Amino acid sequence: MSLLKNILLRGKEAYEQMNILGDDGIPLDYHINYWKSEVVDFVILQQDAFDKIDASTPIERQKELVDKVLEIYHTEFHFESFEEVNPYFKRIINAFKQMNYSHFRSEQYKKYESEIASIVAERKVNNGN
Amino acid sequence: METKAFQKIYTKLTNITKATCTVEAENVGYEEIAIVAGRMAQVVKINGKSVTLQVFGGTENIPTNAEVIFTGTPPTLKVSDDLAGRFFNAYGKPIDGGPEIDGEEREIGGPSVNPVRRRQPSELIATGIAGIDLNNTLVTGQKIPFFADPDQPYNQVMAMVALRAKSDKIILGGMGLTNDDYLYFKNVFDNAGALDRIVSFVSTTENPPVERLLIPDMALTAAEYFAVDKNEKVLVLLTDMTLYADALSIVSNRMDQIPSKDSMPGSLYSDLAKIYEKAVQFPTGGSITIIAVTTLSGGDITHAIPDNTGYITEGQLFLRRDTEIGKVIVDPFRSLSRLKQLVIGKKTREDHPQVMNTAVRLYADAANARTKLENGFDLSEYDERALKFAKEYSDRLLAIDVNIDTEKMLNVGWELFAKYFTPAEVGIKAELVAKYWPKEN
Repeated sequence: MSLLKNILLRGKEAYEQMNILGDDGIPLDYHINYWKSEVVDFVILQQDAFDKIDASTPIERQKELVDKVLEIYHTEFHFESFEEVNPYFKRIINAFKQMNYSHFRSEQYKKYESEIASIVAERKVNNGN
Repeated sequence: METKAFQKIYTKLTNITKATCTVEAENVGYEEIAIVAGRMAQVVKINGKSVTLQVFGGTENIPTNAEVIFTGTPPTLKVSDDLAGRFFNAYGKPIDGGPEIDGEEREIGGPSVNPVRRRQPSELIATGIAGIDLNNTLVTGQKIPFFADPDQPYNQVMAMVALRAKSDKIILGGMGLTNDDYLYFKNVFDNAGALDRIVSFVSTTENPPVERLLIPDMALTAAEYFAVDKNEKVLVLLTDMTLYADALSIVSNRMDQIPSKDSMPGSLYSDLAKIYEKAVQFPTGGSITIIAVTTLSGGDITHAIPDNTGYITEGQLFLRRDTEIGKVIVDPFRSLSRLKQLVIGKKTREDHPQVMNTAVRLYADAANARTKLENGFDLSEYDERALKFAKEYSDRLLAIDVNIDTEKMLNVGWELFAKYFTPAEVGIKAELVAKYWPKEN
């Protein structure tokens, strides 16, 4: 749990730097850290209370979700410029949100699970190759 | 309220202050109305035989041997269907030149409805203003204030809401209205041909400020008559509750009570709750919905009046001038209707909650982009789109001059999403996107 909080705090720091120094005035890593924290925010913290499925998330589902989000956090991504970061993470967030709207481990859920995996694979840095 | 035969007349005042006078009398009750030298007064303190009266018009020129006559009742209102279309003062007397009302006389300021006789509000009130219907849907039986700066057109917005809402009766409680505002309401209601369903209780700036204290109770007594006896949907408009609270503080100061925060009486919360808690939904279909105005000084919501109000009411509506489009909008960040979840997506189209949330989220992105711009940085391509979206969203949905039905608002929402964003950026449930995302022609 403290790790998740750390991610959010680091994201907030990156965002503040972004506001002080501008998008092109901070290292690419800051952009990535910020967007990784946005994933935590959008996918775990922002629950859609108007949606029947998202409104009730059993502990087992929560655990699986947190694990998936942490996996994103620990993944190293490759970007050419900061402009690519925003649209890419928007796609990840969207896929996660759609997964949150699906019944746990249903066909649809699995579909979005694999969609996330394929989006991640697009820019994942393979260490050792 | 003229004198009756064999009525006791007291003529020996034992004390006179600027606003009160004291007389030795028996068989007098709290809040009883009395007449002191022809002026209206109300019992505010009883200590043994010594009765202190608050003279609404002040005690100037009242002699120590003034005639004091007690009416034997607290303030009352005569209720009947004839109330409709009429204008009254704080004592429930006609000020429109028409005849007195013939009807059952009821004491004002009774208790609010027992919770067991209430039903969960579930019927939405359509106003045509998207800033309200789309983002902060109102529900019958709700109590909600406008938090507005004194220079904002809150009375105009409220008159608009009142006329568009499909209610059976509208009760206007005007406290400290300027004569202009009074005539504005009168004209608007008259021109709309809606006078026959409107009852107004008005105390203008020309009347003694303390008289305002009677206005909400008068208005709500009339509202209760129509909602309980006639099973009607009643909308009560109270403007301006800040002036009401100011009158409360005048009274408590004169009675030597120790003032609380912002020189308001310590009982401010209870005094306000007594009014707002009269909002109710009855199982029979009758309801009382209260829309009030609380003017803020310099937008300060930590002041005792808006602060206490916020704890009682079910949300608040903020007006703000959007300089970008030059119109007044309902601020989506600061406004909230706490009862909206009872109706949106249930009484309205299924996509309502998601369209509402998403539009506000994208509007927030635009606010961040604007900060970036102000700090002198280049905007990303996404920021540019967000800003354009915000401008059109503000103009076509948030502005108070919008008048469309909820389904149209949702369609405009989708249209704007499709114009400026991709489905992934919007992040709405795929099912809804498939169904409502505008198809390319």
